[in-house]
Amino acid sequence: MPDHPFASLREALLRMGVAPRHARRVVVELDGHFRQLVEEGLQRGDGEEAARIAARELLGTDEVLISRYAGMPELRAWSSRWSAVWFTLVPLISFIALFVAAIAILCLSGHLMSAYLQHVQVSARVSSRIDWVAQTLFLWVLPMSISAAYAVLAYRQRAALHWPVAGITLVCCLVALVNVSVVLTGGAPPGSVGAGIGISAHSLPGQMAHAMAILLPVVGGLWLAWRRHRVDGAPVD
Amino acid sequence: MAGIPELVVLSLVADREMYGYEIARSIKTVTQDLLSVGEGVLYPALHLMESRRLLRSRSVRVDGRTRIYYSVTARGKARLARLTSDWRRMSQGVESILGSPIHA
Repeated sequence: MPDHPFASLREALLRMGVAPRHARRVVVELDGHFRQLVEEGLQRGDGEEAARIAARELLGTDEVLISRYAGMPELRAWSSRWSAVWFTLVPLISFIALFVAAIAILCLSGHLMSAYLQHVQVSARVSSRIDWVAQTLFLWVLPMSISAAYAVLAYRQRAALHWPVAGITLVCCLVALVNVSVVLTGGAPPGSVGAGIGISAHSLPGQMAHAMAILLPVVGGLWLAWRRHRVDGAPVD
Repeated sequence: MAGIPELVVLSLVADREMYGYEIARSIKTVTQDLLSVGEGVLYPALHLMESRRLLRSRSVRVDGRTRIYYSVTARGKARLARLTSDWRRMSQGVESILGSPIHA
């Protein structure tokens, strides 16, 4: 008998859509329960192997537990119940919402500090650095973080790959079309914040490269993690 | 009859917080093995009751092992009161049928 008699149960529960916190917890609880039953058996005078077998029988088979969870849709993860929406639309909406919120915060900060900024002169070099940092944050760090977060979520849930990949691709395509500029000069007015969306034949190769540069590492990582948990070539669904 | 496992668990945990193994043992001891539950299937039931906010849980580390202790919430107490009253009414009804002469 293996040392961890519930190792496969967690995977099975995750694959059927049980929320990761429930899948993780039931294994911890069953493992503790199992060990106490084994100790009980040993105290009764059973041998180690007999005590383990009796304990496992008392707890029931994985199939019984899995069927019990199957009858409890409330314990399934949201991401499993609404997989398409969760993994395609929610990342896109998250990106748009965070992007707009960050731009709004920048504008508000500029407005609140305008009295101070009027008396400051920012050199062209510093201004260009600020713009570069803003572009890096808005067009690289933000989309990559959101894509990675949903990839991790999909992996934790052992979700099928197609919806998360579609969602991450949408985010990457959108971010490749977006441009942002943060100009801080000081004086009156102290600067400007701008954002836009567009496509042109001239910028298309660069935009595609931008999308791929975010898409490939995230999807590649997800695919490698997903492959680790594939069993006998069966898709994780 | 569907609410019996819920009634049993809620009434046990209402007295003091317990973890899964303790609940299973208590069911055996208190009922003198008259009620038997698959000990493993107790956990999905506990998780379901927690997701319905009838129970709350906290994790405690004991001798290097993690135990999840369950206690009853206010909603769980209200549910317990309702299930207990339903059960008493039903068992009274059955008792009176069993005790009365059979009519044609």
